[in-house]
Amino acid sequence: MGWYVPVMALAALGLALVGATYAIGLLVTVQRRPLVTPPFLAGGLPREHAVSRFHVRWYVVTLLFLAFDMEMVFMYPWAVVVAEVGVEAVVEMFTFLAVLLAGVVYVWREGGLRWT
Amino acid sequence: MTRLAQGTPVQELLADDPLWLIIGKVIAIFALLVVMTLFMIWFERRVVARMQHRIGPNRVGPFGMLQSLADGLKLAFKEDIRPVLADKWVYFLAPVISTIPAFLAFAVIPMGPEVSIFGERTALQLVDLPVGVLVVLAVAAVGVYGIVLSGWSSGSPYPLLGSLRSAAQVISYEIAMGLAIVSVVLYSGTLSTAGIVEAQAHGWFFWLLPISFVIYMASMVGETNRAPFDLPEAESELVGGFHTEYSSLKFALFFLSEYINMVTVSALATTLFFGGWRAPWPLSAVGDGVLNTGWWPLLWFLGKTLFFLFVFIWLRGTLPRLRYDQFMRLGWKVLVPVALLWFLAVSTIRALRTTQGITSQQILIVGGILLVALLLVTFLLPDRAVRHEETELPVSGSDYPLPPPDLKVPRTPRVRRELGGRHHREGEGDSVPAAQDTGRTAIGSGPGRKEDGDGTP
Repeated sequence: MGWYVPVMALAALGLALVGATYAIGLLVTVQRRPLVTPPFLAGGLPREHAVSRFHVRWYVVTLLFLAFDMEMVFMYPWAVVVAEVGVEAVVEMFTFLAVLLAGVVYVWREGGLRWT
Repeated sequence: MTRLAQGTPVQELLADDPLWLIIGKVIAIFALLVVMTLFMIWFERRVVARMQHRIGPNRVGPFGMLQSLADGLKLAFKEDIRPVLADKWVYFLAPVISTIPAFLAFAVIPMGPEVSIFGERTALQLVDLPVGVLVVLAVAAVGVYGIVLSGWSSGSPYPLLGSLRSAAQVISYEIAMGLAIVSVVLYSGTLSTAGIVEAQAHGWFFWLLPISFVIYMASMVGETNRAPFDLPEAESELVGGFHTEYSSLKFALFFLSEYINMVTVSALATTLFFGGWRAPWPLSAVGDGVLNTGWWPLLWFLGKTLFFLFVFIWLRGTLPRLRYDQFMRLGWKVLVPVALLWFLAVSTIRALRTTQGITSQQILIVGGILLVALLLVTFLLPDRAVRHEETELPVSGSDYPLPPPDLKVPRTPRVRRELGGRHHREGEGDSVPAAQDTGRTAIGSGPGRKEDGDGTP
């Protein structure tokens, strides 16, 4: 755990910078309260809240990413030890990747990666 | 497991750092990142200006070098705004969330070998974590939250679209990036950044894993939302993207984090593929490797990082922005499959070398034979038949189709109403033959091909 103390120190310094930035912003400002504006729509007024509707395809990308990211979580420790374990580890990883690839091919065929 | 427990030489070197040295290093890294940001904004504007035959900022300080500092001061005096539909606290915190992780990744980047600072032996690196590469990826992923939350909390359509795009973009390209990094880890056998630099003592991974390098380069531009992949802040589509609703110093923080992220991914590219702090080839042979010791490596490291940063600017000055569907297609249908196949090839070769005792010479011979066979097969394959579509429509300059000259345009309702009112007894039908007549005369004056194509006797 001791290794992470310097990292946390760097984070604290970053936080100090951000805090200083916000403080300077408050100090030099003419008007304390921020100007409350309508959303920028090139002059138009919004008819509904921005988050009320957005496309479903973002969810598909998220799910696909989860599949791949899990695979990578397994891959990093595997890559460190594969030289010691040898061919068995390679075969196991290839089997795992084959299962994953089958899913990707299915998603591709179903149009999950199509954007237009 | 034993390797992690006993620690690498760099870890042992860093373990007995006194407190003042650690604090000094933290401040040095922090200052380096802030100065690099100020420098990069100026450098980018000057280089892009030169590429576009302009002069660029040249008023504030020598060569305009203090321009970005002046811009930062100006931003401090801008009025703070808050959109009426904003989620107040998240809106306030989003720049913080995107800035702080940007600083963290640099903690694990090795900038030089063993040096002596005021008599204390240490390495030019803050910490050498056994999972160093994973830490860089992790803090990069946390930085995405800042972008997503800023767009989400603004309560405004353009920032929302920008943040959704950014999230999808970063996670898509993170997969390709991760696969490129896994190949490096496979060869170095460790996740520690100092260990990866150590593994490149006899040759950079750039020569060993060129495809991984190309994939990493493409995905690092995608990760940092830079041109030509700057879709989250595409000015022509989304005004300013996720930071449209931010002004003043909050906007400056987004800028800061973007440029720090650029420096970080460039430094990681240097570490993973360009031998980290190691001197480039002709220099590394000088004086039995004397340029690889002491403070010299800091120079090579900064030089290589600046090279990658220049590539960022070069890309921005050269390439137009991709469309979002093209961008996602490149990520998911090109980079990820290529990265996976390359990874499979690399791991197979690696396993064969370590267990079967096959030398790299044999692998190269077999690979060469396979390549020649593949080339022969591609020569034998018939070309795909190209369809020549005889277009009936005249095309001018671009391939945007023009309407045919005999297009029958119905009269507008107003004209019809007026005509109907005037020629009340002759009926409405008389306007249509008139239109056909004018159409015919137009064809008659045009090329004969059109007349045949008309189909009327």
